[in-house]
Amino acid sequence: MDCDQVRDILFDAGDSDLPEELRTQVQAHLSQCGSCADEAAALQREWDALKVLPEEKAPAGFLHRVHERIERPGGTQRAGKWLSSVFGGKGLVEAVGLAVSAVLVVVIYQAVTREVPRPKRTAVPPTVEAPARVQSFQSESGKGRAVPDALQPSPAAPAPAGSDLALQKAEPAILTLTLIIPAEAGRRHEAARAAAPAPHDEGMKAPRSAPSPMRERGVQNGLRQDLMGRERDTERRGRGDREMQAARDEVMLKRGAASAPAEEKERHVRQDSRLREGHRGEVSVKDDPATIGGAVERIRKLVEEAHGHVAAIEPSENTDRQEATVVAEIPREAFSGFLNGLKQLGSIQEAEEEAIQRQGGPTVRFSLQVTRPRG
Amino acid sequence: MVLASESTATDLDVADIEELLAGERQAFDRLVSRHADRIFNLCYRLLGDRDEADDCAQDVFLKVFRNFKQFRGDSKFSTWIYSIAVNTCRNRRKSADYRFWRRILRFGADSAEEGGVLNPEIEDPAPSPLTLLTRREQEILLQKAMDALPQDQKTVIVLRHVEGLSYEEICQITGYNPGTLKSKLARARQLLHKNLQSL
Repeated sequence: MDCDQVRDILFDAGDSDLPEELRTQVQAHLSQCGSCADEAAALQREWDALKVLPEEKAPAGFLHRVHERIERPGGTQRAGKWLSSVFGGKGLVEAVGLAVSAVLVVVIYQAVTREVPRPKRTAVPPTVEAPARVQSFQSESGKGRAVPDALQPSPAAPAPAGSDLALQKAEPAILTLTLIIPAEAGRRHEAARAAAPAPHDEGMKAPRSAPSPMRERGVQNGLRQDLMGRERDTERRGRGDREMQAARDEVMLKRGAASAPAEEKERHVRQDSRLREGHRGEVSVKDDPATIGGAVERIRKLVEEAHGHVAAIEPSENTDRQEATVVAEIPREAFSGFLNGLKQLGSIQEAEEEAIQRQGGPTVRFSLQVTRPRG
Repeated sequence: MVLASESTATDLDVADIEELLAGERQAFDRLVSRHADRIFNLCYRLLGDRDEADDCAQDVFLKVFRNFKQFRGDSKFSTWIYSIAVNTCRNRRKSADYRFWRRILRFGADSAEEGGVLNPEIEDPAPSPLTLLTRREQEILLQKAMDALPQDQKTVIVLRHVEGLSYEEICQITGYNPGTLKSKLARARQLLHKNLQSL
């Protein structure tokens, strides 16, 4: 047994008694090895010193402090006491019960007051709360046309009563009116235009641009007088080339788009788009109610005089008639006067007074279909 | 100082526990009075600070008061309360608050607590200082050498050599199996001896 083995045995055994055989071997080594004997003696002194370490007494008043700790409320108890003070002396259980009840009340209230999705209405007019989009309206010819966004009822539109029965009985938000312009009026007007002075009279400026192909075709179709008259009117008002072009478009519209080239149709649509976008009062036919364009312009003027506004103007083409649709909104008190003005332009199929009244609200929104049979 | 052999105290503990279960608060006071010094001494040896030991010993009896119904009697009451004390001291040493104040108090002084070994450069070939010091000085030196031990080694050294508990009791208190306990004790003795030689 070498020194390392003996020292390992000493540290492992400590102050415990070694087995008899092992103790004999260790004793034999210690008797021969002074270094290991000194080490063993030092270890025994250390362990003896540990054994005789004085027992530290608990400080005076230890039991009292333990009692204080026991009596001192813990964190949960302190929270319970605080809750008790808040809830007027009720116990922790009652306070927790009240808190849970309050949470339940809030949850139930939110569940009850949650907005229930409204059932989809079919063929029911739009309301302010859930405005239904007007998908289309029937023209006199029976052609359905999509109504642009500008024609959709605004939130300011009158709202029918909230019940389903009231909704089913409510009138559409947009009234449909029809204005028929007699074809004779158009012919009379064209005859008057034919008798008008020839173009390029003194005081007239020549067009700044060369005559367009459309203009040339208009001349060839016997519309030269009409066109020249419009150009003269336009130049007199100093409106420029854009109004000249509008006048030419109006002539094309009057004569029917069936004979016009495709590009002319497109340009006409662009012109109409400009109108929808707010380019008001820039057509040259505003004082010519015998034409569709003139009639529309006159209608626009009537709307403005009634302190209303035009939402949209849409022309349409038919082989046997010319049509345009004007969608506008007019204050209710001025609507009858507006109807009287329309009667100056042609025969009007009025909406029933009852329907107008049922529309409700401070304004009357209407879709006016203007029709002029081809002569 | 040997606790396990005190059969009288064990019998008293059992009687007091039964009275405490019956609602007799005075029984708890008797238990505290009987074990306060030993628990305080154990805490002091494990923590090395009287104030910390006082506070920690109060925590031990507070836990006893709140959990005495969990004492099943399959071990001695002294073993049960020792295990509470060892765990309480271990948690106390782990707490950030304890480590902070220990660091402040030991600022500027040698501290081999982290490595478990004191500076070997101060080793002196002269006779062991343990033989030259008075009893009080020996005590301070021993406590300092024990404080330099890792906590688990310090615990087994204190339980075995200071408190004189048996291997079986130490296993019950610490939860170590006998093999682990023996190896920990052997390493703790070697390190303690090295620490004392280096002082």
